[in-house]
This record gives sequence, C-alpha cells and structure tokens, in this order.
Amino acid sequence: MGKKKDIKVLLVDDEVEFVNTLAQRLKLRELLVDTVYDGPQALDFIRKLEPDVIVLDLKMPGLHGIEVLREIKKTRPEIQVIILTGHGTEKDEEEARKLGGFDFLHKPADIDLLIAKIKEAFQEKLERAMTAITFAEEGVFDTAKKIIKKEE
Amino acid sequence: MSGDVITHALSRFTGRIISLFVHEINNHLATLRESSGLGDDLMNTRTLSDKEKLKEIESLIHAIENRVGHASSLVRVFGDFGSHMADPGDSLDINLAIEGLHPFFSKIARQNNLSIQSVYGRNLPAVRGSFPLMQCLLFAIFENLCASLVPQTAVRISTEKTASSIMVSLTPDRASTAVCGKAPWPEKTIEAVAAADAAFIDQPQEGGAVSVRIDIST
Repeated sequence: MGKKKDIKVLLVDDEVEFVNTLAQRLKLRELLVDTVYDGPQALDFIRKLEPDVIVLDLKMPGLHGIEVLREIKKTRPEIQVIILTGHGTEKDEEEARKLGGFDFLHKPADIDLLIAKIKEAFQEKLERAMTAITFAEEGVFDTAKKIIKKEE
Repeated sequence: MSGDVITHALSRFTGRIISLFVHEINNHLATLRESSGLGDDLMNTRTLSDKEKLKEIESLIHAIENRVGHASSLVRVFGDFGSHMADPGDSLDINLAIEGLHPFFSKIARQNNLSIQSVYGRNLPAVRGSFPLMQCLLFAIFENLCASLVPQTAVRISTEKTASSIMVSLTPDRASTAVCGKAPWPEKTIEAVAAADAAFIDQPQEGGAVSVRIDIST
C-alpha cells in the first residue's frame, strides 16, 4: 500500500466551500491535494500535471462530470477517478463504472471511507503500472532472445 | 387525454423539485459535515498553536451557522411547496408562486452557467387558479428557456400588472440560439398546462424572451 503522502489527489467540485474544506482535511491526513471548480479546469489540469486519483462531482456548471470522466479516460486512462456526488442516480453510477470510474460515492461521505477508497484506487493504479512494466520487460527479453538467436 | 398530460406534467414537476432539493440539501450537509470534521481535526492537530486553532474554529463556526441558515431556508421553501401540492387552493399570488421557485431557478441557472434577477411588481391582485399548476407552468418555461441560452446570459424574471392581467416575463439579456440544448419540456405539455391555468403564453419575442399573461378576471 502506498504511503499516504505519495498520493496526489485532484478534487473537482463547483461547491467551493465544500471542496476547499475537504481539501484541508485531506492535507491534514498527508495527501497531496489540488482543487479545481469545474470540468474544463480539471481537463486543463491533467494536461499539465498528473494526479493519481481524481475525486469528481457530477452536476457542475458547463461540463457534466460524466463527460469529464469520459475525456479523462480517453486521454489519461491511468488516472483513477472516484465520483463523489450529491445527486447520483443508478443510471449515473452504471455509466460511470462503464467508463472506468473506480467507485461511486454519495455526499455527504465519511472522510475515512473516502480516504480508504483513494488508497484502494492508488494501489490499483500502482498494480496496473507494475503489470505493464512486467509485460514490457518480458517483451524486451523476448526481443533480446530473438536477436541472439538470429546472430547465432 | 389532456388530463393525462396535466397529471404527467405535475408528476414530472414534483420529481424535478424533489431532485433539485435533494441535490442542494446533500451539498449543504456535505459542507456541514466537512466543516465540523475540520473543526475536530484542528482540535487534534499539533501543527497549529492554540491561538491559531481558536481563530480557525471561530471562522468554521460562523461558516457552519451560515450554511445551516441556507439549508433551513431551503427546507422552508420545500415545505411550502409540499403544502401547496397537498392543498392547491383556487386562487394564488403570482409573486409568491415565483418566490417559491426561486431557489430551484437559481440552481438550474447555476448549473447552466446563467444568472437570474427577479423584479416583482407590487400589489398584484390574486388570480384564480391552482398554485402548483401555475408553478409547474413557470418552471417548465424557465427550464426550456435555460436550455436554449448561451452561458453567461442573465435572465430577468419580472411581474407586472396591466389593465386586465398580470404579466410574468422571462427576459434574457442575450438572444437565445435555440440550438444550445434540447428543450426538457415538450411544447404540447406547456400548452396543456397553460390552458389548464387559463394562462396565455405570448409568442417568443425577439431575443428569446417569454411572457405569460394571466387574466385577472379569470
């Protein structure tokens, strides 16, 4: 399990007071936290920086959270996304999971539950990265064997 | 048939109001939870001096009081909505009907990156009609209008008395494009509800403004 302070979290929510307060609480628990207040800002953020986990609201002005999730998974699929919404229907949850959302939580959420989910999401991200490295290494090894055989 | 349309419209209207209320209340509750939780965190942290903690917690207490005030106000409006649904009556105050929708109008406007401003005419006489049905009509017209407007548009909601009627006008400060989004409420539904309300919707004016005329004599 990754150390908490290594986990970079991006909070995306248009409820400014809520998201700023949540950010303070997560920082006190040694997570590295950034906040943005709408979908376009979130997409702009991930073009420049790479959070490990995004905690994403659904109903935001302009771009809906589901569309933000779709775009994140298209451009930066390695970033884990947890939906945290005050208005989630079953349809929203189904759609979010289909698009690759890690989990779907309802506001008001218990902070210990949220942190547990962030850590799980981060752990899954690490494991996927390790799996990708392992395959890549095996690929390199296989290529190396072919080269040696050819030379022989 | 039109009875079915009205029933469906009222049902949909009620569902939308409940949905908007739940979303907003959940946001209030979430903020309250985090604010009180932060107070607890600060009490237990060793990184701040007692003086700094006191200052932060004082600020949090004010924020919580403020937030409880907003939530209570919303619950009151929701309670009034429920009362009118349970007992529609046969006459209504148009300004009160719009005021009762204001928090929901604000939320829809925010979600669409719009702003609203209300200007109420004074001393409007009561008109005959059903309070929830009138609210349903105004809500449907408002939602459709918002779906057609570009972001950053301001919508003025005004009421005024003319010689024989009350006019409710929804006037955007920019022309609507009518292609921004699909209208959430079918025109036929709005027409049916307007007819049931004995209200007349003036043809969409230039710039997308919509007016509803309710004859005082009805």
